[in-house]
Amino acid sequence: MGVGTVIGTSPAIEAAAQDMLDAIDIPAALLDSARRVVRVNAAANAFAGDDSTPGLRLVEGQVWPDLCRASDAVGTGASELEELVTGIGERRTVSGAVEYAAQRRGRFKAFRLTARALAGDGGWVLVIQIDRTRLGVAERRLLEAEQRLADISELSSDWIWGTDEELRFVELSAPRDAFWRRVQPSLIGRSCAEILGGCTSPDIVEAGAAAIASRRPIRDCVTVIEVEGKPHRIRFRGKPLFDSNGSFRGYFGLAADITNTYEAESRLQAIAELSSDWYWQTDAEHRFTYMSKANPGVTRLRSSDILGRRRIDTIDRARTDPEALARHADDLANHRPFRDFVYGSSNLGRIRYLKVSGNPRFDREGRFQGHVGTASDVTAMIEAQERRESAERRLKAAVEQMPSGVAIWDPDDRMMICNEEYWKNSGISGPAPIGRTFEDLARSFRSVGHAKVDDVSFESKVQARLKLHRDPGSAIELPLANGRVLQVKERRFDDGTTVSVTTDITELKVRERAIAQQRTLLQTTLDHITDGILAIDEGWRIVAVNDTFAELLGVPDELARVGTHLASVIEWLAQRGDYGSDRPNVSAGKIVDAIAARPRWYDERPVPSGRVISWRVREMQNGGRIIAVADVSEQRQAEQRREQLRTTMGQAQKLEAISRLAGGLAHDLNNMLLPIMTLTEMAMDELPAGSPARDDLERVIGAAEHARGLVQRLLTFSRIGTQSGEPAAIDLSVADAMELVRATAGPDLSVRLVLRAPKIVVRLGATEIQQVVMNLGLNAAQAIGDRPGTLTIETALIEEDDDRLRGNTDLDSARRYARLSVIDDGPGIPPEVLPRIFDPFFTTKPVGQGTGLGLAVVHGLVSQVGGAIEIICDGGARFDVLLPIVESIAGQQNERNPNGADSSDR
Amino acid sequence: MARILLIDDDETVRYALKQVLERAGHQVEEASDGLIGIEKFGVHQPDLVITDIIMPNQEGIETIIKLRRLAPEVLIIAMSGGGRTGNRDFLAMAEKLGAAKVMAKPFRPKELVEAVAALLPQAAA
Repeated sequence: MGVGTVIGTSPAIEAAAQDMLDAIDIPAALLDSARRVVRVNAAANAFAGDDSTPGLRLVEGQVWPDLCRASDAVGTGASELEELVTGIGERRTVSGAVEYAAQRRGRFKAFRLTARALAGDGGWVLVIQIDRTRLGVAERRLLEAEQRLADISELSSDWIWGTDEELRFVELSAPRDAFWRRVQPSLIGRSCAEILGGCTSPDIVEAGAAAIASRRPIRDCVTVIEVEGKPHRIRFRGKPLFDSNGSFRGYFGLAADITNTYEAESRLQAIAELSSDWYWQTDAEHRFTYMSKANPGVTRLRSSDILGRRRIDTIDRARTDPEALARHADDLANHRPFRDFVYGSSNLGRIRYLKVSGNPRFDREGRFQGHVGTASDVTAMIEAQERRESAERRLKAAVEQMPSGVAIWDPDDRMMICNEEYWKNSGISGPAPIGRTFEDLARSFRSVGHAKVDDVSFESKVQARLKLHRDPGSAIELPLANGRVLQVKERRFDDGTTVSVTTDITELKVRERAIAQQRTLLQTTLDHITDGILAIDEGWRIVAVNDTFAELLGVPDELARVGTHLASVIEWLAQRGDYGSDRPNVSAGKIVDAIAARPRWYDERPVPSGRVISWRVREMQNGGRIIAVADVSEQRQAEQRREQLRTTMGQAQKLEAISRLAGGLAHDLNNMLLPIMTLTEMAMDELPAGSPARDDLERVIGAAEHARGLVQRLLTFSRIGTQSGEPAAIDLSVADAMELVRATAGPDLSVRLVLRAPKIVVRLGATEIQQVVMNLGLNAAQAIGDRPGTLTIETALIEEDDDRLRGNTDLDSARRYARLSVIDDGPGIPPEVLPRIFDPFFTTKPVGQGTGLGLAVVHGLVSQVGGAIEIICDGGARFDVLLPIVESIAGQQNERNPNGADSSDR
Repeated sequence: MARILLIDDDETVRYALKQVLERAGHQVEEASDGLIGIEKFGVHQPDLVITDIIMPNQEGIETIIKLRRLAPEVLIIAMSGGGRTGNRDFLAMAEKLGAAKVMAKPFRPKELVEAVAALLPQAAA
């Protein structure tokens, strides 16, 4: 679109107009009636050529509103713009400004568009663009400050207040906070001095009125304002504003409703005072500025004595931990909070200990205002603590002296005291972890290699150990991985503390093991020895014993064991009757005394099992004794057998010689007796009856008859060793013999016959059986003598399990035996007689009354058929003749008359 | 009356028994041992021989055996005072060898007279 069409005039005018426009050295443009840009000047073109932001360029064809509403336009009110646009539209001459700004290549640009309607019909409007960039920056800062203030006002619950030079409150911004929206209107226009002037508070340094009067800053001036019938505590802070001439222009500041905070602070203070004894404040120079009343019953300095002084000057350095004091001074100097600083003070005439805690206070500018805090009189506590510490020191010293490892744990299981030995025993390096928990310690065992186990086992071990620690029982043994063994004894006290005592028992264990090995070795040796071995210590207590000991003696196992007193064992044996059944207790004492009397002792005793046990006691070097018991039954039996054999052989030889002698003697005597008897009888026949010589000869005959009887016995005796008669039924033979015994017995002798072996045939012939019965019966009858008495003759079978079969070495245990017993209730047999009772010609009878051959004959007869005789003396005398039974012909023998088989000797 | 040969080494025994037998009416020949006895038996042919057992030179058992060989029907009374092995055994043996009667010394005169009478009833006086 050409300019000509717009103006419609001559080109000269158009050129003139262009020149006029170009004469303006700032960007300018001509708008037509449609408020469209129809012509721009050179400056505008130059600006456009500067590649400016499109919105900032005056370009032909632009429409005014668009121009006005160029991007980034700031600072122009909408109304102003509208007026400009509208004014031009009404063809009024307007002069307004549209200010706008933009960032151009990162630089801030600000412009002002001024428009003026030109006179005439054309409705032309001249627009010039003024660069206001420099001015715009300053304005913009101000704007930004204002915006920030607004933002603060918007964000803060505080009220941003200000006054004019007359100190009247003016409205600076609309408060965001609902409270302040309500309060602000009632304050606007009122005097700041009036509101703040009267406010006083114990915790403000300077009254508000004084500050305001001297135009100084208002610091934390708190006043109470009633809002809707409720008092509110308002804290004012403010600064005076002065203009460049130094003229006072009013105050500016913030006001805050601290009602809630105050109440909270009051409560806090109350709590502080309750939890402590009093409450204090100091200023920046640490001088006391305030001190609350002390709690009842607490002594403290009067406020008047302490205010203005510094705490540090009241401290008794001798009674204060220097380190703590230095820390405290450091805290004060660096405006740090401090906690539980305890110091001694002598200001009251006596030592008091005070504990103080404090927090620093700062003003809004961060300037230190002093400390505020609490104080307590801890004299009693400190003194108690000192006493406790003194006790603890003594305890520590004592613990340190102890040979065992000792550690004490507090109720929280933290280590309180630990002596060197305890820590050494633990095997963990470094200092003892005073203050650390037992659990920590238990776990740290792993780190030193005490526990080489997987996690699960280790954890379960730790738990088990903790359980034991919390509920200790008896002492435990703790084998460590380093080979040491600790014995740990723990005890938990009522107050919750636990004392652990550890002893390194490694050496002990090593020795114990060695001893155990020795003991095992000894026991194994003992158990494999055929002798019973028992060792006693010098206190006569058993220290070692093997099973054989109890077995051989038949002593109960529970008696023959380690720890028993030897006297108990011997007493038990004595009670059993091993040392004679009559006086067991006396014997036991005697035995012990006898053993004690000499270094070596030997004894042999039969025990109830029939064995003979020897005791060999030998004193050891350390005073104890070793007792070896052995079964010497075999030896004794062998010896006995040898002895018996010797006796038997002697007996046999004696018998042999005697029978030889007797045989010859009997023959000769018989030959002599024959003529004596014959010739005497014949001589008698020569004499008349009644002749004295005939009587004499009768006596000769009698003596000869007597001699014949003697010779007869001699002959019987001499026959021993020759074949016996046919085996005979014992009961029948005995019954026959009984008649003879009865016939010869005295009138007062009662004879009993008990036959219990019917049909039993023995090896001995009937005659011999009768001789046995006769000899033993007569012997018994003679023993009883003229006294009334009873003679019992009985027969019986000997049971196969009868002890006599085992005990008597003359007998063959494979055979069966019958017993023929001759029992009398006479005076018995004197012990000294017993060994010789079967000796030939041994007699206890007066000379002429016995030949001493009867029992020798019996013995000979019985021996030659393999029988035996046992003599039992308890009360009277009892001869048990044991005769071997003839099994095979037992049946037939019964049919025969046992006497009829042999009559030649009658 | 019978003729009896009495063999015994003991002169006193012979004397005593001879007295007994002669008083009983018998005729007695004496011999002091078995050898002489056998000799006299052949000479005298007695009705009865009474012989001791234990004698020197030839003892009774052998004598009995020899007599029985000479005259199987001879009547013999053997007697013995016993000995080392016992008279019973000798006498039993003698009995087995054919002695009609055995007697253990000493015996009563009457016993001998009765024994002779029993053996020789026809000779009983």
